[in-house]
Amino acid sequence: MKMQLLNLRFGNKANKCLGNKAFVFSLDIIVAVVVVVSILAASTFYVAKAGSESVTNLHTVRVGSDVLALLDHDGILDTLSIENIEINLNRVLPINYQMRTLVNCIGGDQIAVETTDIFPQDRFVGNGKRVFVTNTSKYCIADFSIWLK
Amino acid sequence: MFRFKKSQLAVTDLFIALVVALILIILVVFTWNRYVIILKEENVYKEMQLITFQTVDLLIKSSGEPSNWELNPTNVDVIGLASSDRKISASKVDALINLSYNFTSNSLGISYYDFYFQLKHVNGTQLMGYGIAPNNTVVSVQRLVSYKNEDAIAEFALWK
Repeated sequence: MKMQLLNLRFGNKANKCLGNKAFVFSLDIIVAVVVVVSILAASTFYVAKAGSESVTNLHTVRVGSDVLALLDHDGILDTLSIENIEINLNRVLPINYQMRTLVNCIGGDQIAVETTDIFPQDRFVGNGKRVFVTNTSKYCIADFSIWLK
Repeated sequence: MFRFKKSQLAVTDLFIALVVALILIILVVFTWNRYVIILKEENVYKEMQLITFQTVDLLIKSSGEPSNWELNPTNVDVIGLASSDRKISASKVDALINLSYNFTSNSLGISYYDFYFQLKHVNGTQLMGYGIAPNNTVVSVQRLVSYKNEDAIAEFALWK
């Protein structure tokens, strides 16, 4: 009786139009709270995520560039030997990285030296290239792809 | 009687709404403050990272200004340790070691921070070290270089 008079009863046959008021109030509060909490959660997630990825990626590319520079200085790239390049690449490459190199030479036969690692699909892969001239006067471009293990 | 009940309910509803709104406002303020702190820390860290990258690049890729500054180290404008790209000159390293820490820090433009620079063999053996060893928040970058015709690691740590 009391609830009927307050027009807040849910599912009352005699008062169908007004009977859902309480339910609508509750639903309104729940929806509002869910929306606000969702926005806060999403913004927290993105603030946390908008971190140092770009700078880390920059460092990854620089490590690859350093490795090719060293191989070039040491005359390893000049040999155009897959085994030689791969052995020395693994010697100087930091253990938490993997790298793939492709060397193409012009001014003679085109030679492709490709180390064998497979590209990962789930993380950042940095790319770069280094132009060098071999001691037999071949102009070559060494492309590299590097990623964190 | 009925009107009294209605108004009592309306007041209760108001209180519930106020409580919920207050909780949300507190949550928003707390989250906002947390964002400000996180973003500030993030900016400081990113700035330190960028300075570290730029300083290491300068040291290992540039021969400095003037390029023969090691002959008269006190007149150096820009410190660089490379004889050529990523080949470290032993004489420039010796000249760097003889420079005072404050002078080097000012010359590199990182006087707001402290730094430690070292060259290591790829097996980890230290070849030289310069600066103040870190004891706080550190941004450290390792680069591969050639030093005395051997492969080496140049490590630069920035901290404050």
